[in-house]
Order: sequence, then structure tokens, then C-alpha cells
Amino acid sequence: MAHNNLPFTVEEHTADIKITTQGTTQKELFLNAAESLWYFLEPVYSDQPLSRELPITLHADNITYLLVDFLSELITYADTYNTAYTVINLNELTQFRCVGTIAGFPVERFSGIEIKGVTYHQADVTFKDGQWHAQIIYDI
Amino acid sequence: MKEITRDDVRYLGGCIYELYTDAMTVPAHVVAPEDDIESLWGDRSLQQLANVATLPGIQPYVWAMPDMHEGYGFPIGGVAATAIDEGGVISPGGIGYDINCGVRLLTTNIPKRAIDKNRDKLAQRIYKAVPSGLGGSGPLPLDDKQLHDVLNRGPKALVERGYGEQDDVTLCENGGHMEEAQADCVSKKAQDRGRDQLGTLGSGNHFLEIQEVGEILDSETAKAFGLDEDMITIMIHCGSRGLGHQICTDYVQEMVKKLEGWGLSDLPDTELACAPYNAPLGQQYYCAMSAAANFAWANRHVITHMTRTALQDMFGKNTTVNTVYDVCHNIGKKETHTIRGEDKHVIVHRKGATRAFGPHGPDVPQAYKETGHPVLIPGTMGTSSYVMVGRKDNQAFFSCCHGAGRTMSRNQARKTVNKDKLESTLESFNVTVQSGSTRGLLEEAPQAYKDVTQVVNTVVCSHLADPVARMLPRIVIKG
Repeated sequence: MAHNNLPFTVEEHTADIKITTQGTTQKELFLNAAESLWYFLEPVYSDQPLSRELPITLHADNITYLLVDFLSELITYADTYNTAYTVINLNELTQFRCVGTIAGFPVERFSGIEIKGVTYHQADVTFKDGQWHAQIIYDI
Repeated sequence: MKEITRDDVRYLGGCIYELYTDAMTVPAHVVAPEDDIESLWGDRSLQQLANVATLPGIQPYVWAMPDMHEGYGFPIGGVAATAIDEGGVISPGGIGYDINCGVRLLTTNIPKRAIDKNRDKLAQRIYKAVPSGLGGSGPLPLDDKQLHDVLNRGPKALVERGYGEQDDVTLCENGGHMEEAQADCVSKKAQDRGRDQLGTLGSGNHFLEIQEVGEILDSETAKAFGLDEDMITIMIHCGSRGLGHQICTDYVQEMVKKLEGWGLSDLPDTELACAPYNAPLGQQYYCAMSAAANFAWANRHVITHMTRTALQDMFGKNTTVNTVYDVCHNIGKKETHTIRGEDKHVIVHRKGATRAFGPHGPDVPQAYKETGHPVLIPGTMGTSSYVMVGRKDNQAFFSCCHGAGRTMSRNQARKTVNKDKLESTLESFNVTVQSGSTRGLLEEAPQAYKDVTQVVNTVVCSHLADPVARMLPRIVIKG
């Protein structure tokens, strides 16, 4: 199902959530995929200021696993600190390594769907026709 | 792995089909409505079941329960046993992110007419007492020592602190405690993620329902379970919250990195990532999973305590709220099963499947020794739920379905279900819903699920369990 103005598409899946997204760069792909998290979680912001920055450093065997691990990291911190980490700086991003910082705005609650985990099932990142493409399934 | 086709499935009789291809180590038995093979091809769950049948140490047969639907790695409603002494693996994806997601049933002595008169007020009272949704804290934040105590010992650590009663613990699967649990195997991330979530429902398909016993289907067993016609009961469905989710995430990530070293890099699906049970990482995962299971029992225990307190505040101190049973439906268990005449120690993965031991089965509480333990099958907010009982002749590693099973995607449900119509339909069924999310409400609408009565009939047809009572929802609390 396409949603206007969203940088990702929600695909059909019986019980969980499948998204596809694209980016002209690997960084854009990661940021577009991250957008989908906040779309489903639906943050209800509190009036607290931007959180402190948290460093992230991830290593994986390939870019697909790296994207899964990156999204997992965002879910972990969002659920732990009740914060929507929408300010993402990826200073280094290769096929195997992701280094950067995240910050965000604290929420009163998330009013949407609880994402329990980011799965490797049918996860896929490819580069074709001048664009990066990704498919991810969230367990909800 | 080559895609399965209709030619790979044959009807065995009753409500059982067999799926087998050369790529599978063992065949799969699929429990589905008699002569309704087409219902199996609506999604990729059969393919996922075939993939599971390739895991190292896998034992005949891999099973699919009648509420099976597509998941990730394992199908939801899948049961698979791996032999510990034959290089068998343990797979976190075969247990799920929500470790020990499960169901608890409580009975009360509240008269039905008292509920009928106070539905809205009671819904609001319970909604306030039991935190639901995401990002909220529970009533019992834990420091490190308290959290470790819960992880290692489960809800009995809470009874000592004045929360809940001893019977609430005794009448849980495993007595509410997996003894292999080790808090030290749970990462700091997982501990921090779950630390303040004890006593919370979460969202999605989790719920707390106030129900009435609509129909007794086996009066003798119902009596043993403490159930009576028109009785008001409470059903709680939730799991180990962020703590369990993070344990699954942590260990899947670790196992993915080590698959090659174990010669498992050709798994048909990365989400089937696993470790030999006897490898250090397999052992560590089992200890961490057990800790999450303890946390989940403690979670439902605290919700029970808060519900009991709220009901006694509203209906008086003589109000009784008693636990009937508490069962897991996302878990991996060390069990001994007789397989082709030989007793084997196996890890039974139940992913969206409920344990169903019959009379005198192992770990059946004393109160249910003669009947078998209760098997709790939640339906939907507009239909009914079932209490069943385990059988001695269950062939599916003593497992049963865990619910109605989704048939419609969440997108589809949001597109096709009208909120006003849903609410008026529920009202016409005398059901009051208190939900924090319209989106969640639409996605969990009754029409998004299979007919639970048909699922239960299929369970009976395949000798997995027997029906005891049918419960009707009256108040539904959702995140």
C-alpha cells in the first residue's frame, strides 16, 4: 500500500509489517527506512527538549544485516528511553560498518504499533538502476 | 530451497495433511479443516514450515496448528522438536521476539448482573489500573537486584513482596519458573529496555478481557477448572515486553554471525538463525530465554494483582479473583518425548502454539492431574474464546493452537473495517472496548481473524485437545 509523501511503501503481510524503500545513497536508504519506524510507532511528543546524543557503532557481514541491526538499535533505544530518535547523523557508512549518533525528542507515549523486532526474514538490500532498494519485515 | 507445490502435500485423513519434499529432513504434519487444502495456500506459511523441517536435529514430525499463518522464519502456529543428543539446535526465531507471550485465565465471584450494570465504569477502571500501549511505565519499576530476582525466580519473587498470591504462581505452566534462568545471560540493553515494563499489556493483539462463561461444553472438566455457567472470568494475553524482544534481537544477531562456524550458513532463511543447543551460545540463549519467560509470568502476575485490587475496590473486599491457569505460546522447552519408540530429550519450539498435556502429563499441577491442564485459546473481541483441555493421545508433541489465527493483513483490516460500524456491532454483542489506539482496534477487528470455532473444531478433529467451555467477551482492554 503506497502512502503519499512517505519515503517508504507498506507491503501486504498477514500478521507483521513489510516495508520497501529506496535511496539514492546508502545513507538516504537507511534514513528512509528509519522514517518507517516513527510512522508505525506514532510518537506523542512531550514538551521536553531534544535528548542527548547517543553514539552508535555497528558491524555486520553485509549491508542487509547492517540495515537490520541499525533499525534494531533505533527500536531498542526508543523503547528504553521513550524517545523518537529522528535526528540521525551517520558519519561513516560502508557495506559492513555504521558509525554515527542519534538524538530525538522524548515522548509521552507511542500511540501506534509496537514493533517487537526487526527481522532478517526476507530482508534485502540491493543496488540497481542507480538506486539502493531495501525490503524489511517488522515483527509486531 | 526449491519452492513447495501442491504436489508436495497429501491428505492423510481426519484433519491432517502431510507436506514433504526431498529438501526436507522430516515431513511436516499440517492440521487443517478436513478437505480444505486450498486454505493452506493463502500465504507462505507452508514454505516456512518446510524450511523449519531442515533444521539440524529435527524430529518427525514438524507440526502446523490449525491457526497457522505466515510469520518470519517459523510460521506462527508451528511446532518443531530438535533432539539435544543429535546435534539439535535452538532457534530464537522459532520462539519469537515476545518470549513467553501467553494467556492467563482468572475466575471471579462477581455476579453477571453487576458487570452488565457497570460495563463502561469498569472498563475505564481496569484501563486505568493496567497500563497498556507503548512507552508507558508499569506500576513496579525494578532496581538491578529486584530485576535479577524476577528474572531468576519469576513471580514467586513478587509474592514475597506482597504482590499476588501463591496460587497465582503454582497454577502457571512450569509453576511460573524456568529453573535454567540466569539473569547474567540477559544483556544490559535487554534489562534496561524491560526494567520499567513489568505489569504492562503492550499493544497489538495483546488484551485484557472481562468475559462471561457462555457455554459449558464438558461439565466435569469445567468443574475441575472452577468454571461455571454465567461466571465472570478474566483473560490476560501479553508477554515479556521489551525485555524479551531485546533478548531475541541480541541472540539472533549473535547467532547470525556464528552460523558459518557451525556449518549452518546455508539455512533457507536467516531468521531461522540458531545454535547447537549444546554450544555455549545455545546454552546462554536458553538461560536468557528462561529468564524472559520468568519475566513474562511475573508480568501477567502483576497484571493479575492490579486487576484483583481494582475489582475489590469496585465490588468489595469479598470479591475473589482466582487463577485457573497460565500457559505460554511462544517458548522453547526441554522435554522428553517418545519418538518412534525411543525416549528422546528434545527442545520443543512452540511458536504461536500452546502446550497441551493430558491427564498425568509431566508438569501438570496437582489440581489438574486427573483432567490434564487447561489450554487457553483466545478468539477475537467480537466472537468468543475457548478453554480446552489436553489429551493423552496428542501426537503433536502435546501442542495445540494458540488462537484464531489472522487471515487478513493489518493494511487490509484498516482499509475494510469501519470504526463506527465495528463499535456498533460490538455494542450489539454487549461488548465494551477501551482502546488507546483506533488503528490497533481496526487491525484487531474480528473479521481479520479465522473463525475460532472452526479452528477449535479442527483441534478436536485432530485429537490435539478437547473443548471445555466457551467464553464471551464483555469488556475488552487494548493498548
